[in-house]
Amino acid sequence: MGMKIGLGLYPHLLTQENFRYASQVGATHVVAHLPGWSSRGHRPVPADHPWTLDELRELRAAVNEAGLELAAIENFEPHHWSDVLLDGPRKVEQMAGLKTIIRNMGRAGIPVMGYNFSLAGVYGRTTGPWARGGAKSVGYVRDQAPAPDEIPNGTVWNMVVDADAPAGTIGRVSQDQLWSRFRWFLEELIPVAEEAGVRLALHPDDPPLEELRGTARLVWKPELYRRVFDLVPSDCNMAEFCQGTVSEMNGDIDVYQAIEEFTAAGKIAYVHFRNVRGKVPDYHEMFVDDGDVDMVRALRLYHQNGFDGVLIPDHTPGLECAAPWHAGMAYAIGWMRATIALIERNEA
Amino acid sequence: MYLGHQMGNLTEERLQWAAQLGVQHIACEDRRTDSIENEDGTWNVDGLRRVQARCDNWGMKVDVIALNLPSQYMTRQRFPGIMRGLASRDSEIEIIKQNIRATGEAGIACLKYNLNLLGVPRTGRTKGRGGAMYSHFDISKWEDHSLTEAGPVSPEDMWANIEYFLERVVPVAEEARVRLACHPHDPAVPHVGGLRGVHCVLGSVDGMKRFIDIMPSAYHGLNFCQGTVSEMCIDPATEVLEAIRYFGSRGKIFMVHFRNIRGGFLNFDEVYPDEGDVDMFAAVNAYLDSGANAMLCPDHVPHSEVDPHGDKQFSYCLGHTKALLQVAHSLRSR
Repeated sequence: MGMKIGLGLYPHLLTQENFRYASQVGATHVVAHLPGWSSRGHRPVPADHPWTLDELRELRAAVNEAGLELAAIENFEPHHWSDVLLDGPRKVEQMAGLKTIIRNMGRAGIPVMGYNFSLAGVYGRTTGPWARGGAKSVGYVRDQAPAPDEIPNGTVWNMVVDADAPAGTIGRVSQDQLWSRFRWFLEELIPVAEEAGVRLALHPDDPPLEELRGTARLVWKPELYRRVFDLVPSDCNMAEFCQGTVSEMNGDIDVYQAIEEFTAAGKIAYVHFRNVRGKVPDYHEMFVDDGDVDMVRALRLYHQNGFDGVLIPDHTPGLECAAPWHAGMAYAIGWMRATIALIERNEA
Repeated sequence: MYLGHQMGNLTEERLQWAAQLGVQHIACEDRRTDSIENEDGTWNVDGLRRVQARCDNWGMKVDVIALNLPSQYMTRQRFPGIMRGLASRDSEIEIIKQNIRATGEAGIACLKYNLNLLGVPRTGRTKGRGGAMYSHFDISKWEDHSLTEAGPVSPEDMWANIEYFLERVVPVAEEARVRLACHPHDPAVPHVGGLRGVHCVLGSVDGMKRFIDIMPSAYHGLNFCQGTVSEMCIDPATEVLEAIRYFGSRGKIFMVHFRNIRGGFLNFDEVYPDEGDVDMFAAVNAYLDSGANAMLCPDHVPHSEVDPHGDKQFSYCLGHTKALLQVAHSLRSR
């Protein structure tokens, strides 16, 4: 069993057609990016209703039917846990819902829940023809980023969870406040995850700024992952290791050292494998073979330190053709498949 | 060795797509977009220069242009006389000579071509991973045993027509400093009896060796279709590497169709590069060891109903090839 390649699919892409495409390009696993998803097709379901066992089983069965494994679910609905993030009045009630989701995932045999404990979420990035051949990619460019205004009431992750919220903003949220909310989240949920056999995998903050929109960010330097793991030590307290985000981190950061450390510690649940050029506050996402990071070396480090989990390409610049995203992902996966095979037979 | 792509449609959109994927070398099969080919089949140098300039804008170089001698069935050929030995062949060869001179004048280094009568016969498709359909050939399933419009074509007939052509065009290519890259016969057919009475003499490694020996010229060589060579072999995994070393070390590999198969002589599927019988990394190393220096381009890709334009399949193959090249080159530069 070596490293495995997965394809991350957004809710509208969770279709048999895309599962076939994933298999064709040699992916064996799927990561389902679930917010916005409804197993009932276009019929709306309450966004705050915790995913049921039937819904999760149905999702996994659909993936399995196509010959693929469901490696993880990525991201709760903002409605599932907005007050957990905001320390609001419904946090205990919402936590009960999160526990239900984790237990249902365990019963449905879905092994990993990827999440991002963030208020501002992925904010402020812009799009431009920055990748090779003028391919459209995203990046964070200080001079082009929208103003980091404080977050309006009723909003997390750039999504409105309470349209009736009073005017005004959530104000400033300090590092201490954020870590205290996060500690409560882990202390409540990790025991449930352990019992359910589901690993909780934390994504770092993208863009990895110390503060955004007046709110602290949790993991904006690699060493903060150590603090996360020490906070509630558990085999279920893990990283959704976004190598792209770690590469974007500013300061004296060594992405290779971070890969080695957290892989050797057994703390990486799965990897977002993408390349960038630059660092915050100025970076652009690139094609897999075309950024600042030596991706062959990176894959070698995962392998040498015993990683046998799933890597997904995460993002891709859009290719100029009828299927910009799919073709871009196909390119990344083709590159990854060749390189991983060579590394695992000690030829790279 | 380096990444390349063979393109039948050189719109700006397609060029940008290729540039985005890191392609820097193009084999151009499109003589229409830049009005390279005149109605009478001759080429104009301005058209050739236009396509070069357009590729240059995207940081890409036109390494190869396709002569109008495609891998098509004989009745669909623009110049059918050459391989059928018809009276029209002399005037056809004059046009090819003009094409070669125009290519040299434009400063393009290589022309690819086929010496083909049967097109590319196949016997259906095999279902592959994710429901992709792999082009399939199994001689036992071949049903049409009628003679073709060319009647029986013995090996001797075929060689005579090939030699007649080469003796006339290779000297022109030398003078124009344009290399001629011939594609072998896809697929190999029974050496005795041929297919529909046609003996495909460029459908064996021995035939390819004889072919290059016909003219001792540095401008006479191969569009080395690794897939087709695999289809000639009982054991592609070993024989293909030997063939690469043989032709590469003699300076005869002018470009490569880099694709893989499962199976071998007279029975095979055209599969994805990572699941065939030939170790594609070993192949890259064999090219490099042999001293070859040419573009590796994906050729046929599996058919997919979820990818009608083939963009995803080609992007996949280019990414895969790019990684093999990147690793092979970095190991050698250590």
